[in-house]
Amino acid sequence: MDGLARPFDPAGGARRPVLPFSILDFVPFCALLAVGWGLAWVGVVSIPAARVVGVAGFHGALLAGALADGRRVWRRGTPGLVCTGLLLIAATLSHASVWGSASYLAVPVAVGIFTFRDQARGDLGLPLRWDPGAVALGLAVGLFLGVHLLISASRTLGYQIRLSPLAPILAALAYDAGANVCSAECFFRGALFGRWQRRWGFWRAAGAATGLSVIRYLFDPALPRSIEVVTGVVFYLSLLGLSGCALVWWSGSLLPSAAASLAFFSAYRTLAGW
Amino acid sequence: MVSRGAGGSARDLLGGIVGLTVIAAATSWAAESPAPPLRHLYLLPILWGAVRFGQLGGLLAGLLAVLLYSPLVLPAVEQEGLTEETLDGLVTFGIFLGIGALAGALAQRARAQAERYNTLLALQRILGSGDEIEPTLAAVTTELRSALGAREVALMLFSEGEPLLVVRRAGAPPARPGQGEGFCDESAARWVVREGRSLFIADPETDPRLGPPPPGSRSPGVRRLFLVPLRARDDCIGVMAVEREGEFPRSDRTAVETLGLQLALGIENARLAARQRRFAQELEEKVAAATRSLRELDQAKTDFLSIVSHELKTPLTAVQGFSELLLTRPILPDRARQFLGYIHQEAERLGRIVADLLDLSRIELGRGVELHRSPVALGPLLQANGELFQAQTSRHRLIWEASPDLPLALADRDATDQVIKNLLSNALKYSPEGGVVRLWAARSGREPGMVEIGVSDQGVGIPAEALLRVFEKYYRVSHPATVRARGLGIGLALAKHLIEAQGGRIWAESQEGRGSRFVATLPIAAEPLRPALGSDR
Repeated sequence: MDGLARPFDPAGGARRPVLPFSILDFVPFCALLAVGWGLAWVGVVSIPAARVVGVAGFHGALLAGALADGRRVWRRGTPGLVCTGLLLIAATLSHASVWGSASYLAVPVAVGIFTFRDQARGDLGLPLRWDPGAVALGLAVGLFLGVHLLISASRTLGYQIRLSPLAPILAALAYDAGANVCSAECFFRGALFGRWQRRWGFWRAAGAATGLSVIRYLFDPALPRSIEVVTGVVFYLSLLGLSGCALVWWSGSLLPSAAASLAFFSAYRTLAGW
Repeated sequence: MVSRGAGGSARDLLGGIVGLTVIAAATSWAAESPAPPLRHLYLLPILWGAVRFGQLGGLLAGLLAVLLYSPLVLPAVEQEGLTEETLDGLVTFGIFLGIGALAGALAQRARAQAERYNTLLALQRILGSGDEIEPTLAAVTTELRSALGAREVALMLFSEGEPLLVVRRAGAPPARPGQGEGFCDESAARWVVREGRSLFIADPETDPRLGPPPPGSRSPGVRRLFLVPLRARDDCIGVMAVEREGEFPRSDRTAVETLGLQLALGIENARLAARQRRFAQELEEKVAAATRSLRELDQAKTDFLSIVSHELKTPLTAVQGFSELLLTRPILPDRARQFLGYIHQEAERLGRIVADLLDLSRIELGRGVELHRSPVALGPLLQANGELFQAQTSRHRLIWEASPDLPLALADRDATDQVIKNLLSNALKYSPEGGVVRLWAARSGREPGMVEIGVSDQGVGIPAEALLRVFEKYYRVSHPATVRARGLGIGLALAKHLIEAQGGRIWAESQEGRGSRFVATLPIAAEPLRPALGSDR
């Protein structure tokens, strides 16, 4: 209870900002995405090339924001820049070959290195405490939701479950692990929920962080626009997001939540037609 | 006592999930419609989850039931649209969630109420059983920590706005503010006492109103700090600080505030009871001391009466005997003169005893002895007394001396003379045969502006425990070597009274077996008028 060992001034200083980063810091990312899509629109670059830039720019922006930890995103030797670079390479390799997607796995490794380096410096960093029990619970939650998704989708909409060819599924899983899940967990659960739960309490923080993460998926250009898919995204990703926030709150680590997301997306990737 | 909600364990949770799964499998197997009658069986694990885990448990159990039941309902909605049966299935979703949340909330509230009463009872028991306030409060913090599901609970007692005591947990020593122990003088606790309001700090690590946290103290989890004033009657006697990890909702904070009110009254009552016990104990000790003193006084008076009777009877017997001889027998003039001398001597002794008794009586009545203070030359007084007492004894050697620079004392001559006589008489009485008795007067080295009169002997000495009491009335030091010494036990008491009445003081120093030394001081009146007198025999 070191709160009693510190002086208290009711007038106090300015409260910490709501966001753990500055919105203006994302202008370069937005410019990169706009230029990429603009060039693709006018035909200067191909659509796949623009997609590579988009993947790298978007996930890189989320990771840069998550790793900023209350400082300027574009500080010297920024982790965001490194992660964006890795994502750009991985997206390019993935585009070149289906097995190139394995290079996405370098991104979580880099995130881990940056986080431990921050913590060694005395900063809080992203919570990445290893707790096997909590990770197992996260896997169970993700699997439960994933299996429920498979049952509902196959019974309601007639989607088929398929495991071959295996290579694209593995490539998608590598993308999920290295870009999709990694950036979403770090940004929405690690940075936003982590900051907001201190300020607002669990339910409001979890609701806001989950809402934003659902919106992020709704704007994903790769998502089919049918009503049942959008409903499913809102339903399952809301549950997944709330479960993830609860797991972070309970375990004090992002790893169980990441395990839940990974398990859920693994089940999702076995649905034909994604 | 607060809404932790969970009375269950991981085993219960696993049991619930298995139960729900079995029921889901049964209903799925048996279902021919989106609203099979067996769906109501879901309510059992939902209610069980609500009772065991509170509102969150009920809601999660309801949600789980909805998820397990939805593969029956949603395809039917997709295929058949909103029919009576599919609508029934959808309404069932709401019923599962609603009953789970409602039953959980009710169960949680009932449990919180019961736990609150139990906590209050436990606190009352602790506060009522302890004699000392500090260990009692330490036990209270331990009880509160468990009841509130808190990471830490601290109680700080204040007196007139100033921190008095900080108790954190049982076993840890209570800290006095200013001794460190993690308590800052300008902390939030003082603000709470000053304002008389509760204070909730949602995140002490980042709250700008608090000073920066110590290095290395940051943690990934969220800790909430809630401080409640402890108000007893109209006074804020302290602060209860509760630190919890995770959530600390308003309902829990209200419960803590209620508890704070009860606790403050309990602490105040415990303090009053402790004070009362202490007062009763002190009173008992005082009564015992007074009784002891009265008994001693009673015994001393009895002894005194016996001694007085003896002291009066001895000279009276001599007077009676010698006067009877003079009256009844023909006696030669020289012999008769000798007898008359004895009679006169004994009459003088009787007179002194009666005078001492009268002085004592006046002192006891609070009238004191009438004094006429004037500059007195102590040298002649010493000489007169020295010669007088030496003339009366051949068993002791008497030495008297006054220092050359002895100033005049501002004193009553007769009273000072009586003091010297009493001290000398005592010294001779308790000195062995051949012992040297010294009588001196000098300017005081330790008390400027005073002169000292001292008498020392080579007697049996006074035990340390008796040294403090030798100036008490009727007190006589009992010693086998001096048991035959005569005296009323009032000489030193009179001397003390007379010296203090003249603005001086008197004390005794002694070493058992080596003799005693009595010293009295008197204020200086003027410088000496003539050279000091001295005699060494």
